[in-house]
Amino acid sequence: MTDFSYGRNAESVRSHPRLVTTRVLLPAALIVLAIAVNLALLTRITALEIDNPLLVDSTLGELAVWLAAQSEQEAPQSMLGQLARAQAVRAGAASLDTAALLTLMQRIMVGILAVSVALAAAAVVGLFANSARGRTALIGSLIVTLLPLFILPVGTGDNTLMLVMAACVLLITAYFAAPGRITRFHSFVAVLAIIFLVWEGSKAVAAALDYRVAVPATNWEYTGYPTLDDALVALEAGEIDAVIADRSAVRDLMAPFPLAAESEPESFAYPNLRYLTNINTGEAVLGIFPVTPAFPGRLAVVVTAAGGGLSDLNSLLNKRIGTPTGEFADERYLSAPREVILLDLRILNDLNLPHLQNIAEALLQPARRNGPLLLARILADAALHTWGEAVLGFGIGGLLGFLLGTLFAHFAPVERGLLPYVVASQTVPILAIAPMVVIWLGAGPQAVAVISAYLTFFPVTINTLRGLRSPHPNAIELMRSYAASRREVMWKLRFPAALPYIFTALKVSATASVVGAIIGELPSSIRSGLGRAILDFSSDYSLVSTPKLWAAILAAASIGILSFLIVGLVEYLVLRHYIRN
Amino acid sequence: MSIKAAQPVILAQNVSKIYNPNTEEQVIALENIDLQVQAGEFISLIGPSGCGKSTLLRLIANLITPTSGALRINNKDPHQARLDRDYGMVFQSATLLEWRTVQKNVELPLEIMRYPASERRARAQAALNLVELSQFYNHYPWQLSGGMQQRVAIARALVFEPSLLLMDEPFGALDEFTRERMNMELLRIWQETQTTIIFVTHSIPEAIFLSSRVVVMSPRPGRITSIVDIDLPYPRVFETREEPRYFEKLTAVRELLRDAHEV
Amino acid sequence: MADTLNTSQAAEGGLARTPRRHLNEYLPTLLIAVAVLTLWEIVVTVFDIREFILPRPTAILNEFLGEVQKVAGAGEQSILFEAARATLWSAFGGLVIGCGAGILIALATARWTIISEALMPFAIAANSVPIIAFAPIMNNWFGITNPASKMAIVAIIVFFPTMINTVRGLTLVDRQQLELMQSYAAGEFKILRALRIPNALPFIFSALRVASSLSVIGAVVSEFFGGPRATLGVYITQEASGFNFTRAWAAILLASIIGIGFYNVILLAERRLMPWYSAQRRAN
Repeated sequence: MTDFSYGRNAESVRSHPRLVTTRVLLPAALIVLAIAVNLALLTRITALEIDNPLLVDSTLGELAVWLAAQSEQEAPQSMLGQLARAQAVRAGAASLDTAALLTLMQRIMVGILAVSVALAAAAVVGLFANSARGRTALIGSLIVTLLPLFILPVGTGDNTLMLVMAACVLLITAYFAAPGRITRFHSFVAVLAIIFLVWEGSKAVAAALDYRVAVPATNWEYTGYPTLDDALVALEAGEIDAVIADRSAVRDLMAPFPLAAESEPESFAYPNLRYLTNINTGEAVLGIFPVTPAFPGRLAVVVTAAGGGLSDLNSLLNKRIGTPTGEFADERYLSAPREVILLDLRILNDLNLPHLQNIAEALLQPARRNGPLLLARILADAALHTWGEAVLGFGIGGLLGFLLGTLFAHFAPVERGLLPYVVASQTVPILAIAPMVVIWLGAGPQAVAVISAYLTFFPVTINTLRGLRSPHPNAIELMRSYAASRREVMWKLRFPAALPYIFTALKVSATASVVGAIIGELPSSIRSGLGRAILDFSSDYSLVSTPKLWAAILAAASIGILSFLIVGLVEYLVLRHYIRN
Repeated sequence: MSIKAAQPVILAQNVSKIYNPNTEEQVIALENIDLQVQAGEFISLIGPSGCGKSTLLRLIANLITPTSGALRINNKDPHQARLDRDYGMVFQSATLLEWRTVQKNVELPLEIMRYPASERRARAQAALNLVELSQFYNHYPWQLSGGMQQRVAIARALVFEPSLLLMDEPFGALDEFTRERMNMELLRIWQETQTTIIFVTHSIPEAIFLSSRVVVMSPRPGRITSIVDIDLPYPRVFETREEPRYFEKLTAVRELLRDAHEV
Repeated sequence: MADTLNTSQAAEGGLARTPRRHLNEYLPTLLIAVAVLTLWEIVVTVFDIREFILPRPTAILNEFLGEVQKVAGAGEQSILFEAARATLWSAFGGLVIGCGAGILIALATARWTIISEALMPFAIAANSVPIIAFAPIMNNWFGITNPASKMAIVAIIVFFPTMINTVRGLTLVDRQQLELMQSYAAGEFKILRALRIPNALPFIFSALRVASSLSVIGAVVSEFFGGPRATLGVYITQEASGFNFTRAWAAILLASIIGIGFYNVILLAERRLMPWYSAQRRAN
């Protein structure tokens, strides 16, 4: 800090010219590098041929193809389709030219990159001029640079996406290195960008590692025999310790181990041999780490009656093993090279975690192949439908919660009697009640609203109760000294004091009502809500439907967050005069 | 404790504290503070609200830093004095940690200074004896009255035997009778430990009764208007409050405050 | 010494409450329970309401006790209790993982307030997302029959409220207590251990109480999106779709009991670990 006896303060440091330049040099350099990367991308995209997969398979490219198809139809259902049709009609053509549309999309992509470069340049200027606008321009450039992540397809052997990610990383680092205050909105954007980069980055890393981190393991030591009987004879003679063969082949030749109650080992062809039925053929071999290839269920391990009791595949590793040559065990299992999988990264593969571009693309494509409406439109309609039910449920639940809370605050015996049940009601899984509510009220939005209200009323009740009881006893005595009636005390003192508490509960309830609406739709056979959409997309586990599932979840998340924000906004407007922290 | 007659314990020269300097919301909390405090003195800071007495105390404690001027504690930079734990502090509210027993609360500074457990126990017990609360060592703060909690806070401030004790209106929340008794207690403790005490208060009788010197301050901007020597003899007893010289000093300080306030 | 000790309150906190007082407190609750159940039984019998609209409480109790007998008698297997065990395991596992992670992350980020401030909007946003919507994705990642997929959902559900509350507890410290620690030149780590963490305990426990009931509900609801038969969520919906509502209600009863059980375990832990808090609140 400063030396007190000379009275210099922090202000004077800022105006020292040399210090300013050094602090700004690093971020400026990073931004210039980002600009260079973006320019490289720009040139690459400008140079693309119309049929290049980078263009055709991109989100915008696929959209262009769909628009062209829609413009052919007489009366397209979707808004964009109608726009395309109108455009075609105006040009006097039967449909829009796909090539022309693709060129348009190409120009849009170039435009986006150009805007990003311009904003970045403005950021550099702002940095040197020591203006706060520079940092805003930097964040703006970051936001625009993130867009290609959602547009450009990930091709094999193509490093375009890497360039985009590199540019984003440079911009984020530049932001944190630049002097100045980090505002909440900026840090929000930065964290969001980091999340997207980690998403794509970890997928890239996992793909490079082939979705697993593995080390080679020792292979089996085994001898091949011309037939199964030869192997079994060798086992009886003690030349080998175990035989691995097809289970169906050995099952009729010997008794299993452990012995089943009725089996007579003597009656089999090989009375002194057993095939193991309880060997742990689950994948884990080295402690917790699984091994590939895993032991297939069609194989069995045969040992002598005396040598039985092996419980683990590991215990076979140093034993002498035999198997009939030419068969499954020999060709596909014992001879295959083994690996111990230290870390399974399959969670990051395209099936489980689609690329951001896949999700964006799924949104801008029809939900069913060649369907009339884009997924985005269908999800928007579904979301609106669900939201309507949620709002109804929120209203009912909020009102009920407020009434209950007020009742409890004024009549203590009622509170003592009913409150434990109100609390206990929340331990009942809502999903269990849902089918019964549907039966009582009939399938439809009213049942969903009731289910949604069930999740909503509890926080409001508790907080209303707490809020109404929150005023200081002195304040209540003051009101009594004015001979105020109970109702006046309630509305003039208790209710305003309770408002902050009630709003806190309403914010929680806003999101709970959305959860309730989604859950409620499932047993109510409501076809047009998000609950149904999520269930439909989840029933098919494929590369096509998983991005749709993520898109549907995104829609659900959006209405949850939006509800929360709206209540927050109302809270701000109502309470801003009192809450000044 | 040996008294270093030459070096002042606290030396403030032209100290100022300005919040939001060079802006519209600028507030001059303290201006041109000159103060010297010798070892073993009992100094009261008194003045109306906004005169900067608490600010001055916090500057000495290095909880905030001056905007300009020189401030030395035990001939060191205040930051160094805090790192060396040269002072103990007692706040307006007892500020005991609710989850610790009385004994553990008193041991808190010793834990931070890494004293071994047995020594901590011994010192804590000695400190509790000093404030005459040893039989409550295993109680929780909420089980004690306000006055008792403040005594625990004083024990905690003295447990590591600092040479300087800073007190920010420690008895403000107590009733008159308890406060008068706490004053007697404090004087007794001061006599036994011979620490230097800086005591912030807005009660004139309390300031006169306790201190060897009273620093009168006034607000807008916060500054020292005058320093009054209280030459009443020690040890001071209950009857001291009834002596004519006590009333003279009381009137003198009251008039100084009124003048300062009217400016 | 004229200083009074709050002896009466101390005694109240120390001595056990007499059975009489216990009864007085719980009497209205019990009365209402009895009244409601009696009314329910009468209404269903008198109006001859069919089982699939509303089963009789005695029938539900019968079914429930029948299952209890199976478990106690060590002869038959009770599918209901097997299911309950699986669900309990999922709920508990998710609770431990979610709350543990929430507290750890809060400890890590509260130290550098700028990180926790940047992450807060995301935590609040994530808390606003209907987590149940993620159940199908978790099933895909871990496998439908793997309890880890249910634990993951429960963990996410409880993670955010726990983290948000812990951060609040670690940062909303009395200013004077903070100044006291600074006057001792205490290091950040010591301040964390001696001041922030004990201060945060009431906040953490209030989050844990909410989390305990959420965990059971989360486990059951996530099982609806797919799971092995021997889990409560699947059991309930299968019995409901087969119109065996008595069985479904018996299962619901069991699920509630588990939820209430978790809640009370947390309450007990709270009383043991924070003896000063409950006693202080009672004294006030």
